[in-house]
Amino acid sequence: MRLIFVLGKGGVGKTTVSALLALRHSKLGKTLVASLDPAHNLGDVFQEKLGMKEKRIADNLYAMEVDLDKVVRDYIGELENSLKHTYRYLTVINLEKYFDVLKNYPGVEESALLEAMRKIIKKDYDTIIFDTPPTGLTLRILSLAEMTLIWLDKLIEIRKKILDRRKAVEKIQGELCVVIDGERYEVPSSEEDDAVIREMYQYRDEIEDFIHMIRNNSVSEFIAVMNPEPLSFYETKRIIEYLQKIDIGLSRVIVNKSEECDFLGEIEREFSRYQIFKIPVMKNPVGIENIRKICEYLGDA
Amino acid sequence: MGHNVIESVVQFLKGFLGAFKKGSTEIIEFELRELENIFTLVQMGFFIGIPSPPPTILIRTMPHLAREIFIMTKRAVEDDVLSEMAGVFDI
Repeated sequence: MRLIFVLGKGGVGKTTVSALLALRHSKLGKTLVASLDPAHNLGDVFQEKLGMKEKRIADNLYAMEVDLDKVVRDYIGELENSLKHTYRYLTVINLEKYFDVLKNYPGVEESALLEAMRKIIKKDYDTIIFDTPPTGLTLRILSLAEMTLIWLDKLIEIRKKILDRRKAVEKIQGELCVVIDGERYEVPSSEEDDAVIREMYQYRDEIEDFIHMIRNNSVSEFIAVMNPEPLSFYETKRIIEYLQKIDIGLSRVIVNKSEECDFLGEIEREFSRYQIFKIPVMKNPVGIENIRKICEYLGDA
Repeated sequence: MGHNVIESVVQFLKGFLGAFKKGSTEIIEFELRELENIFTLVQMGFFIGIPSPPPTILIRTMPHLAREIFIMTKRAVEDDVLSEMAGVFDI
């Protein structure tokens, strides 16, 4: 499987380039292009109504638009259900009201999108192309995986201390259990019996696999899309610097709406380490037949 | 009567040993409750505005955290931690 992440400042043409790449890759195998941008345009480019389920656009080509609001609602919904059904007594202390706050809490959107991305990656496609949200959100999502590992390591450390102390108490007092609201809960004292630490180890493995996947050049490719103008240029430089900090390499820079102007020289000098492709201004960049005509500007898929 | 005396002595010894056992694990149990409290508080910190891990960790561990959540809410609402600590260290 191949993963392609298309990054760039808002409005530079990430969606159009994602569609071009998807069309190109569909010649090689089953391809999915997924839009994670809250301001979706993928359906407009293909002239199709898209939703959370993959829709067939052409031979071997499927597309979807991730509904960010729904993803966050479902994400928080999982937590709410977990609390309500597992711990009925907690409804007495009115935890429900806190979930409205949680939906808007910093980091929830990124976490929800990371989980959505991981779910999409499990689907059966030869190539998956992510039309990503504007730069800030995308880079936060990518570094969230690393942060999650750091937190998990600390929490696992605390959990091991808890299990050690439970074992010590158990040796003298006997088996531990707790009764809450008439329900008896077992209190595990070993890693084999503790569902919490097993869940954290499992999640840690999943996140590590995700990080290895996005850092593996033979599996993942990161492409920056820009326009030949200063703001886009500086943003692309920042994207590359940030990706380097989290050990991710960029493979290509695509200059969309390129015209012959002085600024192209600056772009070619600055990004000479990367493959640079130029796509001219397209009069009508919508519909498969129109975008198929400009696939050649992307070089080999 | 002899039987009653023996019974009383047995009960006394049981109580004595029980108190002895309780005393020997008092500090560990205090430490255990604090760790369990902190473990859950760190994960649920976003409810009270403190930096916390990505919520996905809580989503996955929440179904198994009955005792820890009970301790956390009890500690926040009922417990006087300083008094408890004073008791444990015989201050």
